[in-house]
Parts: sequence; structure tokens; C-alpha cells
Amino acid sequence: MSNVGGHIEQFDSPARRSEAVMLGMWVFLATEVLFFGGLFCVYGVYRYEYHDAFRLGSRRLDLWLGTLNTFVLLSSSLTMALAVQAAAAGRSRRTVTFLLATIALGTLFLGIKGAEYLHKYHDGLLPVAGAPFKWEGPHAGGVHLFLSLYVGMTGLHALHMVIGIGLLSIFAWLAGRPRWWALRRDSFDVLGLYWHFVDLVWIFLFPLLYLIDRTP
Amino acid sequence: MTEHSSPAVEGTPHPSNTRTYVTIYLLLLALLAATVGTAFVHLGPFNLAAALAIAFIKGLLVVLYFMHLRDAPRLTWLVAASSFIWLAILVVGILTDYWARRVFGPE
Repeated sequence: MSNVGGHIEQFDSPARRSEAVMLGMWVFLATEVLFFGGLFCVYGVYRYEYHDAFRLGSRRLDLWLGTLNTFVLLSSSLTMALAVQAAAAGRSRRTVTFLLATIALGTLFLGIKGAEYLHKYHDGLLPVAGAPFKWEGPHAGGVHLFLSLYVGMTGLHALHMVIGIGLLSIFAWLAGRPRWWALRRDSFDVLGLYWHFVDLVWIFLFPLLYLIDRTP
Repeated sequence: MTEHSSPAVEGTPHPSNTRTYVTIYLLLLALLAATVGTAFVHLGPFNLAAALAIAFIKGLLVVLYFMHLRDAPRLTWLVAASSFIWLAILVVGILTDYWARRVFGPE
């Protein structure tokens, strides 16, 4: 297949190619919306059915670590946007710098999340894979459900973060190769879309899990 | 590593400059503070409404500016919007079912 100026011959122009690439990624993200959407639906039904239990469970999550993690993830979206911008301008060193910053922030997010999980496990509030569940007082069943959803939804989100950090690492490595760079410039936009989508999921997860009721 | 510069790819507009991104970022942080703040106030059912409204605004900022939907072709808009419309059908359909069972269900 011939390659002229970075665009493959079935496309009329590099612009058309780029549009097709981006559209494909948006279609993938649409399937991701519905994938996470199923879990948000389950959450909605059980929050309706076990309203008080969800309130009690939410109060046991670490609000400040959750807020800090939201801050970290929003910051990583800024560095990702700047990396994509640098890539579009053809500035490879700046691209790599911002990709590495995004990797660092993403790893920090996972570290904080891991610390939260560990703390919940020690408190008997991480009811997953046979881990003990300790709850004194009413609504034990509902709280168990809430915490299971908490682990399931944040766990699935964390898995997306792990995949994202892996992709970012590959891109940071490839970004230093001029030949690959010339052919695959719009891949950075695709990576950016993925990373921002993961941020988008967290934007909804955070208030729904951590902020149900914090009134004194 | 050497800085290799080549002209920007045609047809991939990135009109958003660094200043726009930083402004959006600061707005997102302000909205984060707002959503945490409202959780501490007694608003009854409006706590959930406020949390969702703020999350929607934050999500919209991310999608329009960080994900460049603002500058994307119409077809991309259609795909992005349809994913949320299908999600809305899923959520509204299931929740009205559970709500109706409780309100009109057999006693």
C-alpha cells in the first residue's frame, strides 16, 4: 500500500483520513458509554431501593482522598490535552513531556485508589472476592450492595486507567521516532479521546459514590 | 531525542490554545469545589439534582473542549449525542419500571 504524505490511498486527503479515525474512536466510546451505563443503571435502581443504606455507605468513603483523586485526574486531562496540542504542532519533545506528566498523574491516581482499597479492606468494608464484611447496625444488606458497587465501578474505571497508562507509555516511547510520528500523528488525538473519556466516567462516579450525603 | 518539527497535519484543527485549556481546567476545579460544597448542605432530593447538574456541566466542558467535539464534524456530533440518548433511554426506561412497580405494584 502506498503512503503519500502520511495518508493511505483509500482516503481523498489526510483530513478525510483523520475524520475517519476520529469517528471510529467516537463509535468505540459510544459502546463504552453503554458499557459503563449498565453499571450506572444498576446503581440507580439500588440507590432507589436502598436509599438509606446508600447514604450510610457513602459516608464511610474517604471524601478527601476522593476529592484529591478527582483533582489529580482533572489535572491529568489538562496535561493530556496539552500533549495532543503539542503533537498536532509537531513538537515531539513537548509531547513526550506532557505524556510523561499524564502517566505520572494517572499512576498517582491509581496509588491513591489502592491506598483507599487497602484501608477499606482493613475496615471490613471491601466486600469483594470473599473479603470479610463488618457492619454494625441497620441496613447491612444495602450497605453491602453499595460497597460492592463502589468496588465494581471504581475497579472497572481503574482497569481503564491501567490500560490508558499502558497506551500512554507506548506512545511516549514511539513519540521519539520521527518515521512513526509522520505516519501516525492523529493517533495522539485518539489516545487523548480515550483518556478524557476515562476522566468523564470519574466525573460522574465521584459525586454518585462519595457525595450522596455529607451533611453534618 | 531531537526535536523534529513537521507541519501540522491538514484538516486536524486544534484551535484551542493553551490558555483555553487552562481556563477550562480552572472551571473544572471550581465545579469540583462546588459539587463537594453542595454535598454538605441539606437540600433533600436537590442534592442529587445539584450533583448531577454539576457533573453534566463538567462532562460537557471535557467533551467540548478537551475532546474537541466543538470543532468536530456533524457526524461526530451525531455519534456522541446518540450514545447519550441511548444511555438516557436505558436509564429512564429501567428506573420508571422500578418506580412504577413500587407505586402501582400489587399490594
